[in-house]
Parts: sequence; C-alpha cells; structure tokens
Amino acid sequence: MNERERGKMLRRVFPEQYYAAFLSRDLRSDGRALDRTVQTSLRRKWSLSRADSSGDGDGVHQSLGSVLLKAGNTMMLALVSASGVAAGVASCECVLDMGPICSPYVLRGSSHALDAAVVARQVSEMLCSTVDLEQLVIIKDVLAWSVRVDVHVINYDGNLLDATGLAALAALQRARLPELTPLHAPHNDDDTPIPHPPGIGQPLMRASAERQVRIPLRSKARIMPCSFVVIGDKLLMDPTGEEERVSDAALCVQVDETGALCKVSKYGGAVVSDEMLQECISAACGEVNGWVKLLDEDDA
Amino acid sequence: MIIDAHVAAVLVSHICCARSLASGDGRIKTKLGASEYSMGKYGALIVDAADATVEQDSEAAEAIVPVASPSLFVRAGVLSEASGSAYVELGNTQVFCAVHGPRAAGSGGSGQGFGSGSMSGQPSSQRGIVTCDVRSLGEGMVDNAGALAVVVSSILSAVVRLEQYPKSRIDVYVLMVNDSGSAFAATVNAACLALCDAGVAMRDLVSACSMGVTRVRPDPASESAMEVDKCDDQDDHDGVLAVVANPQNSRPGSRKTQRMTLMDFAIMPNLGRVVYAHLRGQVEFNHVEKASEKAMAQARLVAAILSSYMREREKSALDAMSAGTA
Repeated sequence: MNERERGKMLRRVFPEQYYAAFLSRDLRSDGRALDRTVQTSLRRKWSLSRADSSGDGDGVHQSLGSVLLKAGNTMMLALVSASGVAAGVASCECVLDMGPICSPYVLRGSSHALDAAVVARQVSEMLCSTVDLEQLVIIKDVLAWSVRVDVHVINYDGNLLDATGLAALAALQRARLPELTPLHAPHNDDDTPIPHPPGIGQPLMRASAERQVRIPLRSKARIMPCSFVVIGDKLLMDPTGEEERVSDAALCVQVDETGALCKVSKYGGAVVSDEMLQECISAACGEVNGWVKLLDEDDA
Repeated sequence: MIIDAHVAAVLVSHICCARSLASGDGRIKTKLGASEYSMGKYGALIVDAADATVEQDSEAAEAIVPVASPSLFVRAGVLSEASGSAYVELGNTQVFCAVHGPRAAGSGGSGQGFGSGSMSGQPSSQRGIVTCDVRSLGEGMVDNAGALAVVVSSILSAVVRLEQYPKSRIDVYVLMVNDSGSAFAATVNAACLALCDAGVAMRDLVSACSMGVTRVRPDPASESAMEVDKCDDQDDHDGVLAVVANPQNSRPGSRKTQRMTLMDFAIMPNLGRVVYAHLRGQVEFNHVEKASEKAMAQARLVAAILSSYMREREKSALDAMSAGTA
C-alpha cells in the first residue's frame, strides 16, 4: 500500500491524528496556512426570475436576484425575494435550507437542522443591520417591502456561517426591486397629494416591469463573519468540514467594512485564551479588504 | 463506473461510429447523427442542430415537423461531499443531483423536502433500496416534486443492481434549481450520471426524453426552433403538427409545457429496454409511433453522450493518477 492510500485510510479512521500531523507543521491538509481562507468565487449569472401573473396586487412576488457561491467546496445558492407587507414594517430575513443533498452527515433529525437555524438567525441579524430598513418602507404605516434571502446549501464542506453571510450579501447586492409608482394618487388643488386611505384589497402601487431599483444598503455597513476553529492549541481560520468535525471549539468574529468589530460569538466548546481571541479579531480585520473586493467586483 | 464487460463493448462500438474532430483546446467535438456534441474538462455539451426537414408520413393524414431539442449540458463530480454527483442543464432547466450511499439503512429518515419517495419499501437482506428526494426551489413546483420523486425512484430501482447492496440504501437527492420544462428528462439523466459517478452497480445507463406533441405556428422571422409558447391545442387546425423534443417554456413562469400532450420515456439504451413510458394527454394513433420513435432516438443520443463523457472522465482521471504517482 503506497503512501497516498495509507494517508487516505488514516484520514478516514483516525482523523484527529491525521490533522495533528499537519498541524504540528503549521499546515493544513489542503496546503493552506493556518490563517488563510479558501478560494471563494461568486457566480452571478444565475438569474432565476419567476414573474407572478399579478402586477397590480397589493403584494408583488418575484425572485429578484440570485448568486451561486463556491467557497472552497462549500457551494450554496442564495435567492432574494421580496413581497409587500401590510402595516408598513419593513424587514429582512434569511432562511437557510440545509437538506441532505449537501452532506452525508445531514439527515432528518440530525443536529445540523439546529445549526442551520442558528446560522440563519445570525445572518438575519447581520442583514438587518446592513439593509436600510427605513428606505424599504413604501407608504408609512401602510405598505413596506419585506425582503427575504433563501440560502440553499448544495454542498457543505465547512464554514456555514461565513459562506451564508457572503452569499446573502452578494445576493442582496445583485437583487433589484421593481420601481413602484402609486396608483390613482389624488391631488389637492395646490397639487399636494392626499394621503391615500388604505382600503382592504385595494391596489396601491403599480410595479414597473422595466425600471428597477437596488435594495438600499447602509453605506459602509456590510457585516461579514469570520469563523475560526481550535484544534488542540492551534487556531484555524475558515475551517473545512473535516476540520470542524475534529475541532475542539468554534469561534466567530463579525467585522464590518470599516474594520469595526461587530460581534464575537463562541458557543461552548473548549476554553480559549485571551491571546487567541485577540488573534481572531485581528485576523478577521485583516480579511476585510478581501471580501469587500469580492463583493464589489463586476457589481453592475 | 461498474458496467458489465459486454455492455462496455457495446458502448465502445457505438462511440466508434461517431466521427470526431479534435479541436485545439482539448475539447472534442463529435457529430452524432445531426447533433453536434462537444466535450471538454468542464462537461459535455450537446447542441441539437435544428432538424427542419418535414417528414412526409404517407399513412398519417398530415406531415409532422420535428422540432430540435434544447441544448444539454452535463457535468459529473460537482459536489465533493456526495458519493457521486451530477449537474445537468437542459435548455433553461438546471438540476443538481447528489447520490449518498450505499449506506446503512435506518441511519436517518427518508429525507426532507416536499418530494420523497421510495418504491422499494424497506431494504431487506436480499436487496437494498433506492430512495429519491426531489427538492425544487420556489413554491410553484411543489406538486410536481413528489410525483417526480416517486417516478425517478421507481426507474432507478429497476436500473440499479440492488441485490448487490443488501440491507443498504442509496439515497438520490435532486435539487431543481430552475424548471422551465422537461424536468423529468433532466432529472433522470442527472440521476444516471450521478450514480455512475458514485460507482453504483447498474444494469445499464438510463436516459430519458420527453416528447411534446402539439401544433406549432412557425415563425417566419426566426430560423431556429419554433417557439413552444406559440403553440395551441392539438385541435386547432391552423398550425402544423409537431413533435417537440424536451419542450421548454420560453418565458420563465409560463406553464405551457404543463398543458401540452407529453410523452415521457426512460430507456436502457444498450439492453434496448424501455424502463418508463408515460403519456399525458391525447395523441392520435397514427402519431404515437412517430413521436415515440423520435423520443427513443433522442434518449439513445443522450445515453451515448453520457457514456462517452464518463469514459473520457475516467481516462483523464487515470492519467492524472498515474502521472501523480510516477
């Protein structure tokens, strides 16, 4: 049995030893350094648009923009949809769908469903800080946009949070809302519009089929998570699936575009020292330029 | 991929009768019948040349025009975590398929999502089961997903050598990213390719084709295949009767193909067997034979593509491995 096959067997049967052998040389099994992220690419050519038949209704349903993200082997598809919501409370949420297609470890009843829910919640919070919710209100107290990002995990090889956050942000940047013009807006004699009393079931706005607007994002407010994992006494950034499974603790640091720290989260696991935490934060801040460039490149 | 030796021999002879022209960047362009097929390291793409000749059927009351099939793109091995995977694009219909297994039965539920089915019941000590779970993005296609999952799992149960996997289950997960018609054909082709990629023992490849029988008003302005959306019901006598291979909805969201008369076929090309045949709608007796012939021919073409693509892939993988160890 040659070296390669022996290595494969070790990886299967004793993964801790396999990774320990790499980490003792400050390397990872795919050749990365400990503080490097995987190669990430975004494909924006996916435009899934399903126009609903109605154009005059109270709500407009469309799939407005989509992005396929490949971070290393982790592949996910993020779709944006928006609908008009009565009572004028704008919102933005992220729904994460992690089905058994993505990994042999994900089956019904496995703990991954809980992980997915936690990650979706975290990404929703990130998006709510990033999206300018006030500008999503169409008519105050009457009608507002409710934006939803559905992220479907197609292949899961580690680092769910980072990939979901990036995919959701990229999809939001890509998505276009239809421009709305009010229907029968009556005017006073001096041409000031009378506030339209909302009747039940009465169409309020017409959605333009041609003109579209971007989803308003607060400037310089995009938040990106950066996940780490601790194996033994080594800190690894952007873990793969196998590294996650042999890890002792997981950490996540969220920074925004300006390098300001937004959130640090550590859910259980082994104890981590202060220095390690500082390392994480500075490493996350160092990554900012990289992901801003990725999000902004060919952003038409 | 594990296919019997005699089947492999048949495949080789089938491919040898195609004329192939190698182009500069390593892509192989082949002509199989009237279609052009090119294959590179990114996948295999087949673009069907528009077959515009009107075939005069002396027994039928009228001529039937065959309409070209939309382009097909296949690629295997796209998902690293699955045992085998495939991505298929049939026109605008995009499908991911992942195969997990064979794995121990009882290691989890039968999948989640709207559509899941298994025609084989529970795995026994004599044979395993194949389950299929179809997930489609978006609310519109929910009613199709369950039926499609049951159909695909029944087809795969016939094709996979389940007696070689006792007490095991092979889970096939399908994610339909975009469905603009002919989801059945895309799904079955993807499942076949994914099973090959996973190395699951099968009796033969399985390939599928949908054939729509409808009336078409040829658009004098466009030279390419006629728009399915301009088709009307069969009873309208103004248009020309056409058989449309793998009909697509030209506009996203239109449901034209769901109202067409559709014949779905899944065949095992080398054993020469039909695994699945389904007709929805009405077809005159005279036209059934013509339509099903075209469907089988198309399915055989797809199977030839799949098999030559897999062989090329295996060959390049072996070359890479021997170069690596050398």
